[in-house]
Amino acid sequence: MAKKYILVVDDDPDLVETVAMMLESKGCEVGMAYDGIEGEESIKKRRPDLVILDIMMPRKDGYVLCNELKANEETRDIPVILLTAVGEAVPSTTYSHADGMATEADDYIPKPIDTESLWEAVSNLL
Amino acid sequence: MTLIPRLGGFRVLNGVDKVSVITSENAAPSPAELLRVLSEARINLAYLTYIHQASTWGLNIAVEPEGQNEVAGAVKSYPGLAFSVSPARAILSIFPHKKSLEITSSLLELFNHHQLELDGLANSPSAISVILKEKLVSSASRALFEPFTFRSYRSPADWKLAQKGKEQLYKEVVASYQEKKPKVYGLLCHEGQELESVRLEKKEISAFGKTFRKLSRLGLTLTFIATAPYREPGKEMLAFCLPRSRQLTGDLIPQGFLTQSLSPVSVFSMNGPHFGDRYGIANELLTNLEEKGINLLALSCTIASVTGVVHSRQLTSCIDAIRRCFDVPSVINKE
Repeated sequence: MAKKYILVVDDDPDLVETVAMMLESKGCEVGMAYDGIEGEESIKKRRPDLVILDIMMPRKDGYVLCNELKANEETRDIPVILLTAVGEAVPSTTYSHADGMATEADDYIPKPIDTESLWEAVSNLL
Repeated sequence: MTLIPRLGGFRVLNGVDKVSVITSENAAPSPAELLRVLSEARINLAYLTYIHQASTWGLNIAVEPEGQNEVAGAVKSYPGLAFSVSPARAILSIFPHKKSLEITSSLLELFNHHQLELDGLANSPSAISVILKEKLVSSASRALFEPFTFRSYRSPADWKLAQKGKEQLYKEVVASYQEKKPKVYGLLCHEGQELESVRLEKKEISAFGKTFRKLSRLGLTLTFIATAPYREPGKEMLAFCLPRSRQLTGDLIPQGFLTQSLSPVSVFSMNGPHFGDRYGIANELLTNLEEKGINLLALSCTIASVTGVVHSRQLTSCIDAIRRCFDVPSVINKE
């Protein structure tokens, strides 16, 4: 069976690396991108089986990219897991858990993530 | 034909002061003790490297300028510590390095070629970071586009445009983490490594890219790299880890540079939320390692990670000590 190709998009390069290593150790192939624009370009070049997407990123945030993917017929069935570090603890932010749930993301995991729980969410969607 | 390495990106943290601390041969505090004082003063260390050197140790830290006086005060309060401050520095990090010696050598070679002085070197699992004078950031950023291409930016102008950040929001996010028990996303261990320590003039660090180029042709991977001050004025220690292989280093490292070669050692890396922006993380780690009697050989903290080197025989105790003070969901072991 072909390896599942997962794209990880986050502006923390160390987190991308950690998640990539976890996914590779589970037998997945991993693509990496460090902001929303790069993530979008990467998806156009190679369709992933799943996208793990941070919310708060420069240039294009995860909500916007997620909504664009879900609004496009060609990409709407790619499962998306949203990650975010923000929530009730950051009052001034426009990013909140409620916003996360309002997108059409297939799953939503608040940071700090637990890589094992993330894998559970990934395997449920693959 | 030489392939140009394609990277994901690079980032710059401007406006930091570099403080170098070195112990004398006499009794001096442990690095954990010094870091405890800095942690109590809530000083964030955006960058930290440490190298144990026989009976002494040296470290480089980067702090915001307002923290510099606190650091100097703390260091002065201990006999046996000497320090120097290099103001107006920046941290430039390229990623992902993929543990590639070729990428590290290309970075050092460009600094050497353009005669850009390098004040420090560190790695995280994804990034290689250098400390340089803030006024050199523009030239260094432009020069990066010679040996590398970047997926996100085609030119230095593209890069500048992409830097519009959300600083205030980041600060709030960091503050929301500060008082919580530190959680790490994962702990990664590389076993079967060899730690090489070389003594250099500061200006020779970038010239060392040539040696890394030779080592890269052997297909070796670089799991750790850091510099720290050496006890002789003007000299630096460069420590790095490669897979254990006795004949390589002796043949390829220029005579007179190599001061120590240790094996087997293990490299551990842990990445956590905003570790580069939160005070007390390194202190937490070093205090626990010290309490467990673990001899930390070298340390490199940059981006959002802590990477350390210990004797392989102490790796299990080291992981236990880390688990005592950090919430570690999983450990990934790599040979």
